[in-house]
Amino acid sequence: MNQEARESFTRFVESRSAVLVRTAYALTGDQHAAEELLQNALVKTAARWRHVHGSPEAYVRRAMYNEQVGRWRRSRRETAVAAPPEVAQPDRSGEVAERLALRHALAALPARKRAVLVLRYFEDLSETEVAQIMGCSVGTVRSQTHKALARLRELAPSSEHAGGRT
Amino acid sequence: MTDPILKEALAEFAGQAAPVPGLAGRVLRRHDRRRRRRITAAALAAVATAAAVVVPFAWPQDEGRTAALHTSNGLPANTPDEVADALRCLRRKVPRDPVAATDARLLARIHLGKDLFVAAVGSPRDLVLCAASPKTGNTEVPQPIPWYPAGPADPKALRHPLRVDAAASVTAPTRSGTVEYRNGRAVHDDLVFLVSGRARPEVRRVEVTWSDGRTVRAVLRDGFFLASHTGRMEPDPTATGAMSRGAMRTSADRPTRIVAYGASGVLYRLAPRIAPRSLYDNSQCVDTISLPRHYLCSV
Repeated sequence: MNQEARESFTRFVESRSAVLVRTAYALTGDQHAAEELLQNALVKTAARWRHVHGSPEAYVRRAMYNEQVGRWRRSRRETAVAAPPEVAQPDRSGEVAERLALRHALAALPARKRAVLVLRYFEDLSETEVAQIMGCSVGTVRSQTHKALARLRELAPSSEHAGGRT
Repeated sequence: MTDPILKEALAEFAGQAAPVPGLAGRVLRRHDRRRRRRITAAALAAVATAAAVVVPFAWPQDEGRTAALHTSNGLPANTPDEVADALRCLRRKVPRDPVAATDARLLARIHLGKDLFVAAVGSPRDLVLCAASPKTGNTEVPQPIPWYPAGPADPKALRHPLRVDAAASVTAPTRSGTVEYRNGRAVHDDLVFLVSGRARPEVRRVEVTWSDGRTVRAVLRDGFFLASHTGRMEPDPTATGAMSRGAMRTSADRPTRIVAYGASGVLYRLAPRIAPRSLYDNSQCVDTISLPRHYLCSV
C-alpha cells in the first residue's frame, strides 16, 4: 500500500468507524466481538483497497456479514440465552417503553436471529440481498425473519402487534 | 411492534457500541504484518540456489531452502503448511489461516515417510517434540517443555555455541496411527528417540551419537536442530531382582555425545561425565549449560 492509499484508507476508517462498529455490535451483541469483527473486515479491505470501487463502507459491511455468517456455519450451533433476562418495566407507557423492552429482547435474541433482523431492518437490505449474504434462499430469509420476530414478541410481550414486512 | 419501532430499537441496541480509538493504525499494522508473512512464504517456496535474501544472520540450512527471516521472538518464519504441521503436533485444528491463528512455529522436522515426520515445535513459551502421522497428528499427548533459561528462544542469544533443550522417546508414527496390528498381534510399536536444541550462527553441522554407538547428523534449520533414532522395546537381559521377569529396555534411548562443527572444525562438544542412570540425570554437571534437566555436559 503506497502512502497515498494509506492516507485515504486512514481517512475512511476515522470517518466511518463509529458507524461501522455499531453494525458490528448489532451483529455480535458484544463490544469485544464487534471490534474483532470490524478489525478483521477492515484488514481484508485494506488488502484490496486499490480494487475497492464504489462505496468502501458497503465493502466493509459485506466483509463483516460474510465473516459472521461463516462463523455460524462453522459452529453449526446457535448459543441461545438460557432464559430471557428479567426486564424491570418502568412505569411508562407508549412507544418509549416498547422500544426499551425491545432493546432488552434484542440482547436476549440468539445472534443469528438478531442478524437477520439487523440486515433487514437496520441495514434495510432486500430479502434477495440478505439471502445472498447468508447463502440461503429467499424463502429461508422470510421464514427466519418470521421466527425472529415471533421470538422477539415472546421476549418482549408488550410488543403484541405483528409488524412483519412483505 | 411496528417496523419503525423495531428499527429504532435496533438502532438503540447498536448505539451501545463504544468507538474504537486508533483503529486505522491497528488495522494498517496488521495488514503490514500479513503482507510481510506472505512475502516471506513466497521467498521460502523458491528453490534455494541464489542468496538473494539478505538477512542479519544466516544459518546453514539442511532442508535445501534459503535462510528464513526470524520473527521478533527468535522463532523461524514458517510457511502456512509448516504452521499447519506444527498445529498437528499440538493436536489442534488447522484453521484456514494457520499463520495468523497461532504463535507456534515448526522449528525443525525430519521426514520418516509419506506424511510421517518427527518435529520440534516452538512457541514463545515452550517447546514440544512430536512424531506425527496423518491419522493422529501427534502420536502422543503434546508435552510442553518450557524454554530454559526463560525468555526468547532466539538461538542468537545462546551463551555457548550449542544447547540441548529436550530429549524424549515418542511412539513412532505409522500411516494408520501408532500401533499396527496383524492377526491380533502388534507388529509395529516402534519408538523414535529425539533430541532437540539450539545452535548459534557459527555452527554449520551438528552430529549426535546414540547409546547404541550410531552417529547421525541432526537437521539444522534457522538455529534449531533435531536428531532422531528409531528403536524398540526389547527384553532386558541385565535386569535382576523380583521385577526382572518380563523387564524391557529400549534399544538406544539417549544421546551420548553431541558435537557442533563450525567452518574450520569442532566448535563444541557435549557428553555425560559418567554413565547416566536415566535420560534426565543431571546430577553430574557442575556447569550451568545443561541444567536443569539434562545430563550432557560440555567437554
